[in-house]
Amino acid sequence: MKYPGSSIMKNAGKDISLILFALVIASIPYWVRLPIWITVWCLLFWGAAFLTNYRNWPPPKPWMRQMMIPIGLSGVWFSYGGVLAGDTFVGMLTIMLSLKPLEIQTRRDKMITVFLSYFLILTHLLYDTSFLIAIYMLVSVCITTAVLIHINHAGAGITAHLKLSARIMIQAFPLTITLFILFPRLQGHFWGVYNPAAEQTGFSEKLSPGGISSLAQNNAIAFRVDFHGQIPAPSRLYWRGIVFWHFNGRDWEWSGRAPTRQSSFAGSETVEYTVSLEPHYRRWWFALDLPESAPQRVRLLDDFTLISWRRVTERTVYTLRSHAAYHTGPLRFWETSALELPPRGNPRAKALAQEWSRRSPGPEAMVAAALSFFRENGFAYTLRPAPLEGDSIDDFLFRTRSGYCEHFASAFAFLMRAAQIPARIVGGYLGGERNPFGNYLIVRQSDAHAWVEVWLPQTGWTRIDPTSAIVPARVEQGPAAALPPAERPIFLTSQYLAGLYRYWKPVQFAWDRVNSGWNLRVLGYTREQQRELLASGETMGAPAMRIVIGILFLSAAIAAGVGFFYWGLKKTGPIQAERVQESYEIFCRKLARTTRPRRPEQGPVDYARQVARERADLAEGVEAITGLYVRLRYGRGGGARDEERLRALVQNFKLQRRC
Amino acid sequence: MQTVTTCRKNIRFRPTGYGVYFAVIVAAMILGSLNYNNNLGLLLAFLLGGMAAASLLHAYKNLTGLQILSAAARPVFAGETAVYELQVCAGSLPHRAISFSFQQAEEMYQDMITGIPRRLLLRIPVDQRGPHDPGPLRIETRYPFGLFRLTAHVSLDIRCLVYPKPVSGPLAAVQSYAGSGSEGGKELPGIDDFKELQPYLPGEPVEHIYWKAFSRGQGLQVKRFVEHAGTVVIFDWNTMKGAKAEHKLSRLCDAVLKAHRFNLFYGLNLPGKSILPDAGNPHRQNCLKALALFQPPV
Repeated sequence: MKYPGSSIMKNAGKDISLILFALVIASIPYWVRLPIWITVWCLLFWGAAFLTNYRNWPPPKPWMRQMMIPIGLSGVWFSYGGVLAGDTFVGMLTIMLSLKPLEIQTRRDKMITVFLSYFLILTHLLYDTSFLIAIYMLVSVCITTAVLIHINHAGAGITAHLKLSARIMIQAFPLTITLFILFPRLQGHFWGVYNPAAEQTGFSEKLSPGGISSLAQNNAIAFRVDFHGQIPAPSRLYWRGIVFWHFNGRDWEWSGRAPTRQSSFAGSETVEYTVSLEPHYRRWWFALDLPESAPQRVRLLDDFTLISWRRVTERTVYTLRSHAAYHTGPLRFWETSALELPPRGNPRAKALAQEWSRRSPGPEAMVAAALSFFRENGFAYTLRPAPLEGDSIDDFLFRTRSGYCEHFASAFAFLMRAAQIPARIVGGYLGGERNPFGNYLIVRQSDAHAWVEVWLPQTGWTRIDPTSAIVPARVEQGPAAALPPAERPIFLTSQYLAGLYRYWKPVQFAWDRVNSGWNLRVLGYTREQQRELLASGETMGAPAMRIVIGILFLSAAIAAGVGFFYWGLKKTGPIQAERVQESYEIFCRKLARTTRPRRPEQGPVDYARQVARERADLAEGVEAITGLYVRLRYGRGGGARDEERLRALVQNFKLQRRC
Repeated sequence: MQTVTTCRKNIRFRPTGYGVYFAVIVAAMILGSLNYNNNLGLLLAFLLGGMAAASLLHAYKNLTGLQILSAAARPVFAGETAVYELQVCAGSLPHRAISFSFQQAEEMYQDMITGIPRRLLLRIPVDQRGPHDPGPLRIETRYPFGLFRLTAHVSLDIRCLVYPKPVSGPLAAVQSYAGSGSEGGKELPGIDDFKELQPYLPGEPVEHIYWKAFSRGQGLQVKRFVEHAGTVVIFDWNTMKGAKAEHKLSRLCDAVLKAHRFNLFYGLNLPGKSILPDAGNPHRQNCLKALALFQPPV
């Protein structure tokens, strides 16, 4: 069907500029995500589209556009290494959108471009769903919608359309929230989610020298923990992730040998907490030493680590109970692998361990001897240890004597095994930062840590942290404080920056509080929470009751939306022509006292000129009132506010006598 | 005609093609977000859906309360364009991007912000003589998003009278001489016989000015012509040759127009209806109306 006539065509150029503006706004978040050439490409073609309309440049020939499409698409294909994944599709979408404005002719083209712009806003959520992006998304949707209104009603200015767009958004809000709460969620996926570009951070199945110290600079958040009580002392905050059983002469490996735990264990000093784990694309879930049982879809292994069936590809929230004091019972048969060492290599370390073994009365004394060995021989805690050569344990113990936690843990476990004490290395995190806003713990990648567990007849598996023997500050104050001054982050060493940092820190904490709330309440709203919410209260558990509640909610939301709508109507009535006229007549009567009155056939503009000739001092006020009156009376009109403004102007209009 | 106001009751809505397309996009967004467990994506999809629903409220508001103060159309001849003139104004709220149309007429787009009445002209080409019924007035809006089309049908009950299309041909006029001759008959202003000179009054046809007298310095005078009422022309349906009724009417129409132009004293004789000889505009309209509404005998 043919759409309007003249007014639309007149504004066609403006339409395209506005569409381009909406596209640029929608694409800004991509600028850091996509290869730089795509951004440049988009801006170039959008600029061309803008100039074509604004400057009346000749539009490019269709064959030129059609040639650019395969060039752009193959560019995307090669940039992403020819993998058909989310990134590639997003790249292709932007390429298509970069060329689309050049061929906008009809209303149909405009509408479709606007719809694609909505799609562009959505696809960015595959990359980032933070609170900040959500706010930006709302702004972007508001602008795009204003452009959509403009396409359908070119009669008014974009400001009016922005206002209307914002108002419709507010009116839509109750329904949006209710649908969000009630809409059934999916368990699993409709189709496979493939995300090869995802960065794998944190622990791998292998612990090699330098593996953890590479994380020390990484300030990214590993997980947040909300304790359902007091936050335990820092020395208790050992977050267990993975247990390394097998030593191959250089690296420690997760053997996968640990079976699923069947029985419970005796423990006390229970702590309950909720972890919000950031995606790390591995299967480990982190728990405070030692977790009692596993949540759904996760296994608790016999070495007290939690392993999920699937890799953690999205933020995961789980609640656990852990015991700070425990006894793990007798050594199981399969756990004797905690004594295995490669038959060859590291002879000096083995000899040292055997000598201690001869002299010590029992395993506890052995442990003490090893710890004092570390303490008394000038071992250094550093992020940049000298590289290890040959037999790595020997080299570390007798030559370099500098390392990060994994070096100490590795050497300590080796010594224990050489002395026939079962030992294993635990990888995880130590400590965390308390956020004073909200009283939860932020654990970052830089808190990554490795420690040792030895099996002692009296206490079962017992945690020994050789790093803490060398730098006790690591436990109490975190890794940054434990490093030598030269290796600390600059904001801790420079006095000037440290001062700034003191003020910056609370801001950072407050912002993290907002984000964590957003993560938990909005992004982390899952099927389980939905069920809990709808089934709160005992009688509400029945499915029929749930449907009734759902319908009630929904109708309340619709009622709220309609209510918002009518509330909005009251504020913006139309212009009452009579009242505009009345104001103008009052104005004319006022003027008649000082100038020749308006002749009945004289138009307002003509009359204003006459008054300006007679009383030049009044010209300005007369012009303002006449202009507004003409606009309201004969022009496109305005809002009720303009009408009030006219009345106020007339009332305040003074005929000062000339002296 | 009484003022007609659009009300919610007679508004129908249906999604436009873009509305369907938009719904598909939102559905795709919901599916994708569910698959990727992306709650923010869901939120965005629901927001877009909710906005579309809210836009429907705005569209309803935009169409209700519109007032049609009057509607009328001047008579036209067949083959011309009937022009319906509407006076519309906003009720208590402004209306934007409203389209007005009759079934066959082109749409007119209009914003109505204030209560000042606006004149709209809707044109429909007409071919058939007789009263032309434009059908109900369709008032439509796709404001604000173009996703829904809201339509209100208002029946205005107006007609445009369409005269037959004038076709020139041999006049089948019956001249009758009433009275005893040219002397005794009633005099009517005419073009045939010169009667006298009279002083010129503003507004009289310039071609009647007697320029020779003006050049002699006797002031502006006009020549007055008269026609003797005794000359009466009657156009008679029955004496006309030709088979087709419509064609006959067209020729009669042409005859009426010409007679009027030459200021004749004419009458019309149709089966079942005859109009006595007379002259002047009302008479002309009377005749043309009779031709327009004439029902040919079976």
